[in-house]
Amino acid sequence: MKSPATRVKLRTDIGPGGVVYLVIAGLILAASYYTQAPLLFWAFGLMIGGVLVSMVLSWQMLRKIEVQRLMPSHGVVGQMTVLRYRLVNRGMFPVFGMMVSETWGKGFRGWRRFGPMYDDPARLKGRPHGWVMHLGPHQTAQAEAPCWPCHRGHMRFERIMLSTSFPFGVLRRVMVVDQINTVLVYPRLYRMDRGMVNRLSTIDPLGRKRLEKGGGNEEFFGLRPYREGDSMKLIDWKQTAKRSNLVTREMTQPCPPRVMLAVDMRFLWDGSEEPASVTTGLRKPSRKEKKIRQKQLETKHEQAELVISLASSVICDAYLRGFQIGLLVLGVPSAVFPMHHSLPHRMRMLESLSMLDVTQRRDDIPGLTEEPTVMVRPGADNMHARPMIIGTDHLLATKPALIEPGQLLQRQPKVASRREELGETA
Amino acid sequence: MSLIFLFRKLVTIQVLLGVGAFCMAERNPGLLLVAGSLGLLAWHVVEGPSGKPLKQWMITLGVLASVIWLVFDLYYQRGQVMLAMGHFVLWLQVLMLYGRKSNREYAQILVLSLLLMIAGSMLSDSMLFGVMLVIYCIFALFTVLIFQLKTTSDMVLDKNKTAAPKGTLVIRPKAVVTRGHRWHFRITATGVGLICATIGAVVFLLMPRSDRLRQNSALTSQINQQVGFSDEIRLGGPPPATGSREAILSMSIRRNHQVDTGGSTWLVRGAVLDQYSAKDTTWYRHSMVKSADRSIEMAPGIAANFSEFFTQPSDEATAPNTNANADDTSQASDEIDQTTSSRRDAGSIHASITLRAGQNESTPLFTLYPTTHLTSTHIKFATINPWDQRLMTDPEGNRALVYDIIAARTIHTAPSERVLWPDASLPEDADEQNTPKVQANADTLANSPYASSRRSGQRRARFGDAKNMLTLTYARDWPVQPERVRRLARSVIEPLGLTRQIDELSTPDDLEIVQALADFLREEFSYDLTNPPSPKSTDPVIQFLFNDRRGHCELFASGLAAMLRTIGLPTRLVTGYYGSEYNAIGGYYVIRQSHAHAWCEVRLTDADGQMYWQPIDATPPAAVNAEHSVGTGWFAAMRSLYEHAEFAWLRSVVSYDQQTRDQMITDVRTRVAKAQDDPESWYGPILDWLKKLPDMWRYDRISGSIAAVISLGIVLGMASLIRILIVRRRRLTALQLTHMPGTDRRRLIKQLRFYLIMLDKLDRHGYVRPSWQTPFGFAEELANDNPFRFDPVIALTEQFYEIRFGHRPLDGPRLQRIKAHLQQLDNNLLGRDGVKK
Repeated sequence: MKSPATRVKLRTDIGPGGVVYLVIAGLILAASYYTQAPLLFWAFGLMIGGVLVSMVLSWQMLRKIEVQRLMPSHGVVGQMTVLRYRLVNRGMFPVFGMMVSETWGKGFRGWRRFGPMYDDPARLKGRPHGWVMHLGPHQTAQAEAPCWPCHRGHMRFERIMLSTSFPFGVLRRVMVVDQINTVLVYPRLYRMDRGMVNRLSTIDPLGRKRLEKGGGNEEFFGLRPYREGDSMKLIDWKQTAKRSNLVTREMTQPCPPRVMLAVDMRFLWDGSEEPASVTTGLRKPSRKEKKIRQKQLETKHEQAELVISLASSVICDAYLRGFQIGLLVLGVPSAVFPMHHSLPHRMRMLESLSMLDVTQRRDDIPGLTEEPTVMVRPGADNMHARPMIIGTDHLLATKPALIEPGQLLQRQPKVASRREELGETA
Repeated sequence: MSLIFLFRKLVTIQVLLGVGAFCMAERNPGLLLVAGSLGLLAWHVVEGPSGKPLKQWMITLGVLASVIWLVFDLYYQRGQVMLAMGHFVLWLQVLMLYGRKSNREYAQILVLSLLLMIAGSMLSDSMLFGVMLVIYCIFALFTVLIFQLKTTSDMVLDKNKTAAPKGTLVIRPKAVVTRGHRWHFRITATGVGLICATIGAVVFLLMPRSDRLRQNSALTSQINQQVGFSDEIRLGGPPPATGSREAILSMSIRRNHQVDTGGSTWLVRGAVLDQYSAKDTTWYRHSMVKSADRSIEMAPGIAANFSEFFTQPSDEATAPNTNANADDTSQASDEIDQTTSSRRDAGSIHASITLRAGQNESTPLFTLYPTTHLTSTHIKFATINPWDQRLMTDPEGNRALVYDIIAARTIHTAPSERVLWPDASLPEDADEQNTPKVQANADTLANSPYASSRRSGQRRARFGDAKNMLTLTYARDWPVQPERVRRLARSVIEPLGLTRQIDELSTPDDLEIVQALADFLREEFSYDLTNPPSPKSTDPVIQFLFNDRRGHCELFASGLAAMLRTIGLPTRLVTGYYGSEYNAIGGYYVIRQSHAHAWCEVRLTDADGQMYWQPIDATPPAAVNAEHSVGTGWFAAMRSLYEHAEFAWLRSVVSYDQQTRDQMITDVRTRVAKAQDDPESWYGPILDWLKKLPDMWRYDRISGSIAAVISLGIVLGMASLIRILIVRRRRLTALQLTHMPGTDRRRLIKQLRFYLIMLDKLDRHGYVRPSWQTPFGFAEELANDNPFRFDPVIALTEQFYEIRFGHRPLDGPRLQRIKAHLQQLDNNLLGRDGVKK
C-alpha cells in the first residue's frame, strides 16, 4: 500500500561527534592563544574549515534525494522482515554514509513514545535501520532495513528518515519523508514435529486415504457401460464378451489428506463474567478483583496467541505437505474456510488468523459443510500449558512438540558468526 | 581492501606519524626509536596474520607504568608539563594500539593523536614539523572520513541487534554502493581537504594574535637551547661547545644597491663583554654599562635611527632618535651621512636578517657593526646601550625575528687585518676617503678626555663622578700579571718601531700597534679547539700567551685584549658569529650555531678626534675558514635548498605575528584603494580592462564567441584526453596488461572490456575482487557462495580466459554469448527471474 503523498522535511543537528569536534577545536584555539604557535592557528583554521565544509556538504547532500519504500508481501512474527528502500540521487554530488530508518508520530521529530514499539502489545522491538555507503549522482540504489515483528496484525510505517553525518560527524543532516505503508504480519510460525504431522496426515473422516469414487486411475472401483471417450485400455474385454456390450473398468481417484482445523477460542470467555453484584451495579469491583481479572485476561491472551500461532503453523505445514485444509474459529468472529489446497487459500487463512481480534466475542457456531477433524485449543489442565491438538476421535490428544525458530537459527554455520565478529563489510 | 582493514591501517599510520612528529619536535631520537618500534610492532602483534590483542590486564599494567613515568617526568623536568604530558599521551597511544579496539577506543586514539600533535606544535615551529603536520592532516582527513563510514555502519548494526529478538544472529549491513564510489570518495576527500586547507590559511592570516607574552619559556627552553653563541665567556672550563650545524640566521646583504653574491666574511655582532674577572676567569658585561641600556619603541616598518649611539656617550646622544618619517631604508641611509658626518661614510650596508629567536626574555639582535638603523615589523622594543652599542630585544614569544639593518660604512682596516666589509666594487676614491686618518697628535690622559671633549663640544661626563671614572677606565683594565703581558706586547711592537705609553689616550700609531699585535697572534699562535685545560693556579689567558700558545677564538680575543689593555688601548670582547657560508639559492649568508666566534673591538681615534671602536679578529683566518668549510656536491646543494625553504618558512610562517598581520591588512587596503583611485598602478589597467569588458564584448561579440568556443573546446579536449588516458591506464592495470606489447595490449583491452563490465556490476553489489585473487578464484568463490546467482560469472570468466590466454577471437557468436551472460548476471543480481539472492 503506497501513501498518497509525501512530505519532506530537513533538519540539521549536532551529534556527540560534533560536540567532541568542537571541544577539540576550542582546545586548539586556547592552545594557539596561549602559545601563539603559528601552526596551531593554521590547525584551528582547519577545524573551522571542517565545520564549514560539514555545513555545506550536509546541506547539499540530502537535498535531491528521492526515496520510496518497497514493502514486503507480509511479515512473520519473530522472523526477519526486510524493508527495502529505493533511493535516487537527483543531485550533482554523491552521498556517503547515509542511514535509512523509520520514524512515527506527528511533528518534525515525531513523538518519541509513538509507533509500533509502543503499541500494546509492542509490534517492534526497535526501529529498522539500513545503510547506504555511497549513492552517486543520478544513480539509484536499494537499501535494506531488517525488522523483527513482535506481534501479528497490520503494522504501519509512516515516515522514512534519511540521515548522514558525513564527512566529519560534526553535523547530522536529517531528512524525513512522510510515506505511509502497512504490512500484514502473520502469527509466529513454528516448525511442527514430524511424527505428529504424520499422524495428522492419516486422518480423514472415514480413516481412508483414497476417495472411493470412480474417475481416477488408482485401483479397481467397479464396472460400468462404455462411454464415448473412454480409453481403450480401460475396456474390460472379458465382461464385454459376456455382456456383448462394451464394459469399462472404473478406477478409484486419489484422496489427498484433508484437515478441517477448528481453532477453539471459547476459553477466552470461560469464567469471564463479573460477579453478579458487580454486573448488577451493586458494587464496584475491588482493586484486587481488577488485578486478578487483568492478569487472567493477559494470560488468556497469551494463550490465545499461542493457539493462533499453532494453528498457523499447522496450516503452513499442511500446505507444504499437500493437505487440503479448512479453518473454523470458535469464540471470536472470523470467516470459515472450506477445505482446499492452494497458496492463495493458505494466505487467506493466515491473513484471517493474523487479523483475529481476540477481544471480540462470538457465541454462535458458524454453519459447517464439513466436520472439523482437528481442534486447536489451550491445554486443559493448566492455563500455562502449551496448546493442544485434539482429533475428533479423541485419539490424538497430545501436546505438540514445537521447534522454536530461534533454535534453528542457532544452528547456522559458524562462518557467519566469525564474519560478524570480524566486522567485515566490503 | 575492506573498509575496516583500511581504517585500521590508517589509524596505525596516523599514530606513528604523530609519534614521529612529536619526537622530532622534542628532538628526541631515542624516544622516536623506541616508541616508533613499539608502534610498528603493535601492527604485527595485533593485526598480523595470527595476531590478537593483548589482555586487558597487560594494557592496564602498561598504563600504570605510564603514570609512573609521568610522575617521574614531572619531578625531574620541573616545569616541563607539556613535555611530560606529551610523553604520557604518546605511551597511552602506543599501549592502546596493543589492546582490543571498538569504535570508542579508536576515537580515543584519534583524539590522543591530535593532542600529541597540538603538543608538538607548541614545542616546534620547524618546517619539517610543519610538513609532517600537513602529512598528518592528510592522513587524518582520510582516517576520519573512513571512520565516519565505519561508525555509521556499526551504529546500524548495533541498532539492528537491539531490534532483533534475543539469540538472533544479525549480520553487518551490506555496503550498498553505486558506480564510481571510489572515485567519488577520492574526489570528495580531496575537495574537502583543499577547502579546509584554504580556510586554514585564511584563518592563519586574518586571525588576530595576542599581544601578551605567549610562550611558556620554561616549557621550551630546553628544547630550543642553542649552543655555540654565548653572552659571556668562561675561559676556565672546558673548550666552548662548537654547536651544531643548524642554521640559525640568514643575512642577505646589499651594498650600494647591489646584492652581495658571496665570497665575503662577516663578523655578526651579538654580545659585548668589557670586564674580565681574574677570580672566575670570565669575561662579562660591566654592571654600570648594563644600567645604561635604553629601550626604544619601534613602529612597524619604520626605521629606528641609532646613529648617535656610535659616538662617545653625551647628553645629546642619550635620547634615541626614532626617525618617524623615514619609512624607506634608502631615506634612512641618506640620513646616516648627515648624522654621522664625522665618520666619513661613503655608503652603507643593508642587511636583511632572519633570526631563529630563542625563548628567553631578552635576545641579542645580531647585527653588523655599526648598525645605525633598524627596521622590523616584529620588534616592538629594541634595547641599545650607548657604551657598547649592544642591541637586544624581547622576542615576546616569536620564534623568528625578521629585521632589516643599515650599517654605516665607516671603518676601513689595514690590508693585513681581517676584513670586516670586503668590497671590491667600491671606487678607489671612496676607499681613500674611508681610510681613517689616525690622529697625528697624541693626547695624554691628563688632557685628552676633557680637552677633546671641549674641542668637539660633544663629549662630556654623563654619569657623575663614578661614571666619569668609568669613561676613562672603560675597557682599559687588565687584572692578571699586567706587567708581564705589557712586556710581551712591547716586545712585539718595539721591534717594529712602535711604542705606546699606558697613560696615553690615543697615539697616531694605535692602529698599527693593534695590527702588529693581531698579526703576532695570528702568526705565532695556533688555532686549536681542543686546547688542554690550564692549571688551576694559572690564568687561562696567561697560560695561552706564555705557555700553550694555542687555543680557540676566545683565547685569541682574550690574549689580544690583554695585550692591548696593558699598553693603554681600550679593548672589549665581542661574541657573535663568523659568517662566510653563502647560500646561492637564497642569495644570503647562512650562519650556523657552529659559526660562533669571538673577537675584539679596540677604541681608536680618527683624524677629527672622534673615537670609534674598531673590530679586529686575531684568530688565524685560515684555521677558522677551514673549520667553516662548506661541502660540495648534491648533498650540500640539497642542504642549501632545505635551508632556503626553512628560512622562507621562518620568514613567512613562524614570524607571522600581530604586527605582520596588521601590516598585511593595511597593505591590502592601501593597494585596493590605490588601485581604485590611481590608474597608474599596475592594477589600474586590469581594473580598466574589466570595466571595459562588457563594451568590448558588445562590440566584438562574434570573435569573442569564437574564441570562447575554441577555448572551451581546447579545455574539453584536454580534459577528455586526460580522462581517456586515465581510464585506459586503469583498465590496463585491472586486466594486468601493463607488461604486454602495444599491439596485443590494444587488442585485448577492447576484447576484454566485458570482463571489466562484469567486475563493475559485481562491484556495485558489494562483490569486489581483491587484487591478489585470480579471476577464476574470484568466480569460484562467488559460485560456491550462490551457484545459481553467479553462474554467469563462471561463464564470463571462462570467456575471459579463452580470449586472454587461449587467443580465441571475439567473434559474433561469442559476443552474443557474452552479452547474454551479462544480461543474465544483471537479472540475477537484481533478483529477477526467481533466482534466490
